[in-house]
Amino acid sequence: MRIEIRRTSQAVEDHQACERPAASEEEVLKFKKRMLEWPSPVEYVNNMYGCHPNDDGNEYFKVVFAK
Amino acid sequence: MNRGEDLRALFQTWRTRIEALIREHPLQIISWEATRRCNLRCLHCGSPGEEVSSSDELSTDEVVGAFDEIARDFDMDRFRHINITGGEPFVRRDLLDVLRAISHWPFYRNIDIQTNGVFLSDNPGVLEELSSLGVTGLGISIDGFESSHDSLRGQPGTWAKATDAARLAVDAGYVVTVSFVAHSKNIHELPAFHRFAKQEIRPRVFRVMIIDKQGRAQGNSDLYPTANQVREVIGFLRQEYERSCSNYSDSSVTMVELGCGGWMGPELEGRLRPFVFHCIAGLNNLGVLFDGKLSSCSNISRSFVQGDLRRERIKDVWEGRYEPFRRAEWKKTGPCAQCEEWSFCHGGPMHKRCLSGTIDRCLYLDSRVSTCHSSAPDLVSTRRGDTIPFNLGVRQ
Repeated sequence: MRIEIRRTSQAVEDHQACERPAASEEEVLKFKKRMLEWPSPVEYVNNMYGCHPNDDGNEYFKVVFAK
Repeated sequence: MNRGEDLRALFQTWRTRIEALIREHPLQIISWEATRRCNLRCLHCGSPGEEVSSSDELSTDEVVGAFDEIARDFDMDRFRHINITGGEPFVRRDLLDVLRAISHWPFYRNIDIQTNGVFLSDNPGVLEELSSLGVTGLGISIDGFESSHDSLRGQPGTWAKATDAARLAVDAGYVVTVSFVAHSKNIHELPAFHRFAKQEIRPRVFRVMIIDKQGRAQGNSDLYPTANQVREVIGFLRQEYERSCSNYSDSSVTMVELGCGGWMGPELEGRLRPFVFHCIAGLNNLGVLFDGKLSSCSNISRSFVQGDLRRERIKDVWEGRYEPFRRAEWKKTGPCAQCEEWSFCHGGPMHKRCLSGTIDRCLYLDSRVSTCHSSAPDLVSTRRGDTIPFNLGVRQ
């Protein structure tokens, strides 16, 4: 079954209504520092798949490899 | 220590870890260019433009043999994933056969495929099997709204298929990246298309890449953005990243990111994407090209080929060559020669380089230029085929 894509303008209007506010400068710096502190300096390979390290430590690959 | 000093210290520490990665070069990613063939002929395609013969394509047995050899020869404890690119990977009729044959290796079960979505839209049933074979992510190219997308491909209906494939993949549980190549003719619709994608497709990642002067795009200079347009894209990313950064652990949130555009300086790094950039080509990223040549990402010029798996052991090539990827000094030319960011950037992405060491375009410099350009500034000329002062070990 094909998914019907809604009219673009309607989608945009709907989304604007629930747009998130920008993070504070404090929050941005907090995440910037965390990126710089990841154990691997190029841990962004995770990000290529949306597997962003979280506060519990980057557990994604343990989960994947445990399958 | 105040906040500025604290961040500077962290950048210094980050740099020492990058230097360690260069020394150790653990194999963590395999980028497999499954084929150069494609069912579309996109004007902005970055696939290298060198003439190649598709009859040289690795056979099913050769591909499986290469993955098996790597599994046996390398320390796979630190291995991360396989990234399958093209051409269009699904043009290979044996793609699933290859995945079936290597899926018994536990470390080959985190696979990402970069696709135009046409095959998946026409064959949605394959999504279930891909998942069972270890495919976790799908990167789907969608370059704006329907008319923009289809006109670049010269084929109506491709936008509908790409968006269809992306939504089906999201619904099937894949980590989906919508890749948007920003060029002079679609940058104006980036904010609206991003909102549309978040609302209607809901990918995990919305990746923006700025068109590079490579591949087929080299012949379409009208697509190159001006410096002002580049800054427009950077401004958009900064705003959208800041909107979503504190929610990135929430898998339902669409993250924005600037793709492999290069180091953006200590101020902008950490504000445009949820990672700090350094090119990983040849550091932890091994490229297996369609014909068995060994390099890194498939959009890097074939001038940088380091070996040939049909004639050599992959481990020997990985350990004994890759000098152009791991020794950066040869890239310190043109705008990089005096750049204050050199020690962090090391010359930026390899796909922007030619053998002479010159760089196609530097986004960091573009983002800082305050004057208005009427057209994209040519920072340096690109002359592929020049020589550099050490042995590349090229096996063409």
